[in-house]
Amino acid sequence: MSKVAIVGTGQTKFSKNDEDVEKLLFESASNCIKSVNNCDSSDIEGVLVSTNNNSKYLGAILSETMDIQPKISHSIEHLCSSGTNAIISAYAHISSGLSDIMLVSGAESVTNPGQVLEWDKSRGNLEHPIYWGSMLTKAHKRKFQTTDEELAIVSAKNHKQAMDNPFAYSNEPRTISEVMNSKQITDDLRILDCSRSCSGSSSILLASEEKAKIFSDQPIWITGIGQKTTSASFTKNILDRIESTRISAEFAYKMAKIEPKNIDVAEVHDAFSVCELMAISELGIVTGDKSGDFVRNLFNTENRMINPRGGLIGAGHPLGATGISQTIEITNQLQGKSNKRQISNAKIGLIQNMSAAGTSSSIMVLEN
Amino acid sequence: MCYKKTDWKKSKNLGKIIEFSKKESKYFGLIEIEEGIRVLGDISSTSMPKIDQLVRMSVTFDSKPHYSFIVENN
Repeated sequence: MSKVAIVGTGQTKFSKNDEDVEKLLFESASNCIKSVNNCDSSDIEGVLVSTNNNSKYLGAILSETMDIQPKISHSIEHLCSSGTNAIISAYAHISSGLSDIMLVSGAESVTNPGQVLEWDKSRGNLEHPIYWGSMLTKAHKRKFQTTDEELAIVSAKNHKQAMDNPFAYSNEPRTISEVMNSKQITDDLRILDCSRSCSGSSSILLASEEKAKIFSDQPIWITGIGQKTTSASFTKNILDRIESTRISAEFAYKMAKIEPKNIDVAEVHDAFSVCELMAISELGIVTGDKSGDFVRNLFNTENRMINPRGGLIGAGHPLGATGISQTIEITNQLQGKSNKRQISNAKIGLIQNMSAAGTSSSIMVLEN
Repeated sequence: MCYKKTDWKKSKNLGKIIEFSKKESKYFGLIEIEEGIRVLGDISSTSMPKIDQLVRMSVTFDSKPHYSFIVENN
């Protein structure tokens, strides 16, 4: 089996504008190919598109617009973790020897209704994610005495970190007080505790060990992968846990031969503020009852270890692009190319991307 | 929808509150109606609901089910 590296990246700015997903895909894929040394469209053997958009045949459409005639092209949909699922599929193609070079592009338009899992009738008419977000938040408060201020710090931190992310949908800072006094959605959620759907696209180029050094002076290796789906319906969840993340992380750490303490930088799936607190606990970075203190300390010391690009809350959440955008940030961190967002001496990074209230998670460990 | 062997039985329409919150003036929450079967629905209560409190369920249906619960001994 071949090792697999990320050798190129490209993004569009995330925005609230309604945009054609085909156009978005083309833009980020073009930016990605331009970032790579000596890469021609004829080199690319696979094109995977990650999206929840209803458009058909996007793998082939993107291939045609990019003048690529790949061996492999198809779309992958898995709600909010479509992006990492697409990357892991590409990894499997390369690792198995089916291809040497794969383009993975994710995109979403702000008007895409992909947030609501209509199949899950156990949600009744309370389908919108704010309801499961409220249940998780309330349960976390109940178990760990998490305060509204601790939740607001997650949002304030990620908005602040997004100010230095040129691709974020908003570069506007938010104070803790502004978050706590923002529009109340439910008793347990303020609007600034919530990530926002937006339009945007992100692309990466993956290569086999044999080809990686041709295309990049700084290939970033995918050394650990873990995935788990515990259910489709959220109502089966233990509300103060994300079991799928915990289980996925165990697999990823084992594959990468690392422990949580080895993680230098991580992008985690802060669909709501509470999700960041839960994620860092399930990843073993901190224990559950200390997650609020941990994030408070990060904020007070301006330590960008968690969600340096601003996370979903700060950067925006175009579902199909999010996992790829998280991966691009960690790639840039490990290459020392994150400018004002840079963590010093980052060697090992992690991406945690999840779907449908944490009923499924994908974790990747990257190393330079 | 279940693709394994299924048994049908009449629900007792009773459940217990697993967790709850409030939107505007209405409570809503996650209710366990049978072991392992949980649904999200509105909760009617004259006072703040409590975890493990017993509730009685009614269900209406338009394009999707609408679960409503009333706290027992309200």
